[in-house]
Parts: sequence; structure tokens; C-alpha cells
Amino acid sequence: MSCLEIFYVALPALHAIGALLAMGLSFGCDTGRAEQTARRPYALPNGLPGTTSFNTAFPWDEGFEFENHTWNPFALIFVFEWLTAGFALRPLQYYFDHTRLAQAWLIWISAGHLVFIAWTFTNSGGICPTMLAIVTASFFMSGVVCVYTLYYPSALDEQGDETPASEAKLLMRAADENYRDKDGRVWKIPRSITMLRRRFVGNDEEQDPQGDEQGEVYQAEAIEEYEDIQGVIFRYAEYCITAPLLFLAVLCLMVVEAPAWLFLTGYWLLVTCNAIGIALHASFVFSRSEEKPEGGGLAPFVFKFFFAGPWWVFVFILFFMMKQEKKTDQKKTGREGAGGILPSTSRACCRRPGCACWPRWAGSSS
Amino acid sequence: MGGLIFLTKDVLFSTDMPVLVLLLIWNLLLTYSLFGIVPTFVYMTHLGSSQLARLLDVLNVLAKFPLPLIILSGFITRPATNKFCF
Repeated sequence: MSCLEIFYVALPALHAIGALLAMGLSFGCDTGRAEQTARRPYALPNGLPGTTSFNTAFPWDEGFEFENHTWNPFALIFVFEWLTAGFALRPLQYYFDHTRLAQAWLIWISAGHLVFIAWTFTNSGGICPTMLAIVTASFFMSGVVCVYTLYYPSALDEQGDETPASEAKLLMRAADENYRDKDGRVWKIPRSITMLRRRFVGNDEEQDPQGDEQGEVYQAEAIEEYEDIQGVIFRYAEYCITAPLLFLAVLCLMVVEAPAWLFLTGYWLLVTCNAIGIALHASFVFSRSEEKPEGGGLAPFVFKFFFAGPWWVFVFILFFMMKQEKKTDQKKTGREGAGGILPSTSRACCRRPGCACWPRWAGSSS
Repeated sequence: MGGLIFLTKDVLFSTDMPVLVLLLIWNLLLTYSLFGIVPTFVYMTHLGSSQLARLLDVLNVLAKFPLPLIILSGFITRPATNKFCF
């Protein structure tokens, strides 16, 4: 086993260990119960009194304790590591059955979301719907990537085998399932890649002659090319989903009294910019490809990912925040109709009656 | 990127901020920016998806590793007198 293969196997394991550590920290560190005893705010040079300032103390600094707030950086790190461990499973598709691997990945995603929901019930400070929606969206988008890059292509391939018209596909798949490289090693070739290849070049026997040396060389080059194309989009998708969680972790750790809209717009902008990058990459590859893909090639996945991700997150969070703020304003002013999303703050919001915390009973006692 | 640096110049070039905080902020700024700059360079020079995938792997490591490592190592090496969280 080469160093690269050891790295492929060790990577998801390391991320999983990191996720479990962060999960333990998020369960053990109840930021809703802790009282702030020492904080060293860094006032911006051009900041006005009472405006946002930076917290330069780290959680492990002497005397530092979290203020009562509903954003837990360790929970965000836990979700980040959990999702990254799932993405790190992808290189293993060359060593294991990729359909089973996709199923294991989906189970991993579902289990992570369940653990996160369980954590929300243990946090005495409750959880802001913004954080719940963002984390749920991250798990959901990971599921979309898994389904449309590994699981769904495999299912389509198996359905196609049941029809007589797919005899050519059967012949090609028999040759595709195992690929022997120049060093003599046998690789399992995922059906997702072989299907993508068929989408690009079709089933023309002349283009892909079976059995002779030219056909094998062509097959190796085609597999490498489509693996690279798919791999780049996969890496973009991974960064698109996980990196904004790190941004949020830094934000809730460093910025004192950060307003909720800063979390919302920051996350949404990062996800949207990265999703646009994926779409641009797919467009670039499509425009440069001599053989135009049948059915749009990667475009259906890219655009489903783009529309499934940031946009519904924005609508979902907007709905929650407007609903909660409307209730808050009704309690404050005693009249209906008033409502806004910008004044919400992430910290200490559970101390205010009627504030946007979930579950609602968690914040009502303080 | 220039606009972002201009808007946040008071933080990015502050001499009062701890080095670790500055490191985190600069790391996020640079790696986030390079995720746009590097693919653009690769597309312009026709290096191909294979090279781009490798470069993205490097950027991915640079962007992701520092923050979890800093937080977890800081927690492990925290002062014994600090009863943080547990």
C-alpha cells in the first residue's frame, strides 16, 4: 500500500476523530449556562461606543468563559469535521463498492444531523433558528452532493441495465468495472464516472473499441479526464459547504455582540459565491469540450446544487427570523404588523422574552 | 479583494490584536481569495483539471487545518486553573 493510499484511508478516520472530539466539547461546553467573567474586548479604532468590537480572548485563556449566547463554536467545528469526514470518503470509492460507500456516506450525514439535533436539546441556552437552519442546510447540501455524484448515477445505471436497449452499456460496464493500471493494480471504477463518460462520448463502439490496446489507453485517459473534472467540482462543493462554517465559528468566537444578520448574510454570501464558482467551472469545461455531453453532462447536478443550497437557506432563515421578530415586536409594542430581521443579536438573546431562540422553553427560565 | 482589505484595514493591520487572531483572519482572507484567483489562473493557462484538483487540495488544507487545530490544541494545553466548560 502506497503512502497516498494510506493517506486516503487515514483522512476520513482523522476527520471522524476530530468530529467526535469537537462533539464532546460541544456537549460538555454549555454556552447557554456559562456566565461571562472575563472578556477583553478590542474596540475598533473607528468604532463608536456600543458598536461591534472584537473579542481577543480565546476560550482557553485564563478566566475566560462564554457569555450566555446560543452560538457554540465547538458545535460548528463538530459539524465542519463531520461533513469533511464524509467528503473524505470519496477517494475510497476506488477500493470499495461505491454504491455501498454512497449509502454509508448518507447514513453518516443523517447520523450527524441527529446528533446535532440532540445537542440542541442539551444546550440550556437554546439555539437560534439561524444556526439550526444553517447547519441543516449544510447537512442537506452534503446529501445533495452525495446523491448526485455517487448514489443517483449508480441507481440510474442499474435501472438502465433492465432495458434491452442498454446491452451496449452492459458490455461497456463489464469492461469498466475493473481497470488495471500500468503498475498492474486493479482499481474499481465507479459507475458514476463511467456514466459521465458515456454522457460525454456516447456508446459509439468505434470511439471506444473493446479489448484492444488502443481501447484500453482511451479508456484510461477518459477515466482520468472525467475523474479530474468531477473531482474539481467535488472539491468546490466541499469547500462551498464546509468553509462558511469555519467563518461562522470565527465570527461567533471573536466578534462581540454580532448581529444575527451578519451570520446570515456572511454565510449566504460565501455559499452563493462558491456555488456560482461551481457553475462557472462546469460552464468552462462544457465550452471547451469537443464532445458535448448528452443531456448536459454535469450541468443538471451543478444547477440542482446551486438552487438547492443557498437560495432555500435564505428563504428558510428569513421566514424564521421574521416570524420570531414579529412576535418580539408584538410583545414589546403590543401591536401587530411591526417586524424586522436586522435588530436580532446572537448573544444573550435568550435572556430577552420572546427572542428568537429554539427550543422556546430553554430560554424562558433565564 | 482590495476593497475587502481596505474596509478591514484597521483590524488586519492592527498592532494590538494577538498574533494568533491576526493569523486566523489573514489565513481566511488569503485562502478564500486564492480559491478564486488560482482557478482563474489555471483556466487562463490551460493547465487542466488535474493540476487544478491538486492545487485545490493544497488550498483546502491551508484553509481548513489551522482553525480546528488551534482550537483543539488550545483546549488541550489550556492552563490547569482554567475550568473552562467542563
